[in-house]
Amino acid sequence: MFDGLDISGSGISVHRRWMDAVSDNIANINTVSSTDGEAFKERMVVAQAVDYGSGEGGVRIAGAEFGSGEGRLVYEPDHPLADSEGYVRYPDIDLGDQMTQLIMAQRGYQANLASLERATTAYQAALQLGKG
Amino acid sequence: MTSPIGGISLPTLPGIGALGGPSGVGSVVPAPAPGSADGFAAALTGALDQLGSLQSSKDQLAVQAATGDLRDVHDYMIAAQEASVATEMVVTIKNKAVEAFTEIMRMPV
Amino acid sequence: MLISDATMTTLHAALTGLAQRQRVTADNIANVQTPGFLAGRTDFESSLRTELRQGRTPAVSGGSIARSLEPTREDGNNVNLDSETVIATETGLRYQFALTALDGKYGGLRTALRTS
Repeated sequence: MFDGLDISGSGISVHRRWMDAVSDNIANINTVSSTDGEAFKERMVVAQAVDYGSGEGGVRIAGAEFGSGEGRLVYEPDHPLADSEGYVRYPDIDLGDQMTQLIMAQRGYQANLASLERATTAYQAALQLGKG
Repeated sequence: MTSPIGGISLPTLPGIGALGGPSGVGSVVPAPAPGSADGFAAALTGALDQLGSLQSSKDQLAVQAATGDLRDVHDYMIAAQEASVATEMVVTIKNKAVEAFTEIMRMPV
Repeated sequence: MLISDATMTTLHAALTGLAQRQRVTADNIANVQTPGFLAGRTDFESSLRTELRQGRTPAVSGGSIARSLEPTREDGNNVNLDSETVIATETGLRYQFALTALDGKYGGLRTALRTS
């Protein structure tokens, strides 16, 4: 009966998980790994429409994709994890790109929140029908 | 035994007719012709029938709402309002009938 | 029907159409980042207008849903968040209006009954 809430709720949830992934990427942007392992891989959420065929299903996370584990080789001989040639791996994550994603994810999150509030207002108004 | 209120004219309910709306009459209980034998009985029976079907529609929608099968909450709210107004209408007709009958009975023979 | 006239049926049809538009718009906003997603558009006004012009009692249905063919971005998505927000706001206000109008009709009927 209150499908509008579910649809917006799914949008809120997906955008929240997107923000979480981006925040995690940003937090690990300087996480160093040794060269015999992988660098921290950028995490990207894959959104997919929930399709009942009617355009009223909402959205879901279909899965996650990961960026390259190659990372960037940086010469830091003094780092405890440096290999015999003095190299360590840094994640291949671009801060500018992550910030752009964060802003978009926040915008989407706010928009779905507003959508939820509009649906709630409409349902509440309908429940007042006949009460003068 | 004939209906005790047969032959009594149904007084017009002025407000109701005016609310016929763009589709005009047929949407509201029309006032039977004055003096018609079936005046009140027919009006009341018709109104009760329609009220019955409105009540059962409303109940069906309430069940759908309870099982989560109702698409739009306003469907139930509209059905509830229609049943409520219909109930008031039936009561009004009944009261008018009783009034008219009582008046007739008071007349000196 | 004992109670509802063509105006009230029209308002009911509008409420149902607007509710579906609200859901489809919410779906668009939820999918603003979904690759390949085309925004949904609903139309109940056309059939409603046609039915009224032909003097028929309007059918209470949600209207038709179609996919927007506006140009897509790189990921194949064509949802414009600003447009959707405007549509959603307008839909909400029209829904409230229809409820108010319907409420007025019920109130009018009740007043007539009590003063008759």
